[in-house]
Amino acid sequence: MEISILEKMIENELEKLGRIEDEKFIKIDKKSLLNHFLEFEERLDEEYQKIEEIKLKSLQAAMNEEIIYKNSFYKT
Amino acid sequence: MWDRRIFLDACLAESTFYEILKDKFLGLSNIYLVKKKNIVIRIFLTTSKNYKYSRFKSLENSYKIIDFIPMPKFVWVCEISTLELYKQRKIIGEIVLDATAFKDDKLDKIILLRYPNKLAYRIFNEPIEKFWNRFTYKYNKIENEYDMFSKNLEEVQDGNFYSGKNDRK
Repeated sequence: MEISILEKMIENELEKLGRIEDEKFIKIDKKSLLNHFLEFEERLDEEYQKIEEIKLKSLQAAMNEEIIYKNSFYKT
Repeated sequence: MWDRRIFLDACLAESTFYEILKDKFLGLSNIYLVKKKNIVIRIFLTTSKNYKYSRFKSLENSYKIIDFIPMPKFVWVCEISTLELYKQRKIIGEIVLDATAFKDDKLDKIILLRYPNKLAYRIFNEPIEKFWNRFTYKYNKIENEYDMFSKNLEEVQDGNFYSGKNDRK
């Protein structure tokens, strides 16, 4: 189904639910809202990088442990 | 279209949920509660088919919207509740992410964001601005409390053993 048709169907259903503008957003300029979300995406990117670093460190630690285990196994 | 494999792992999904919940526009600031400390969240991975079926059973006014929103095969869901409502197995909102998205998709992986009186969605490949625009509205007749997702796996009933007869070929 085409996106525009699907969107219309959803919007029709949403209108039935009594749509009104959220007063919280009325005073906020749409451009500054967009900028806020762009900054949000940057923050998310930083978070992801931190997680990837943690994952890499734990993987390295696990690999080192495996090497130590293997070495001790061969010695015995 | 969407991939059928899961690319967004649990760590990244969890961090995305937390960042959304912390955000001053997208987050818990949309929930008016006396005690914000009592917020309970539950994160899980499920198939969109199971998710939609669960919401079909629990929602009265907005189940059609959930049904109309195209979703990938797998979704990450973060259900938001309060301590009191959690005990009654009820939720007040939720965030749904595309589990088949790549981490570089950033916020494009949001499919649905729902809080009391609020619902914003994003259809696949739509510009994210449409989602922001939808987020600036609220709805008076939307359910503010509904049943949480349950029974990801149905229990085996007496005498109702798997026969494989109804499997799709």
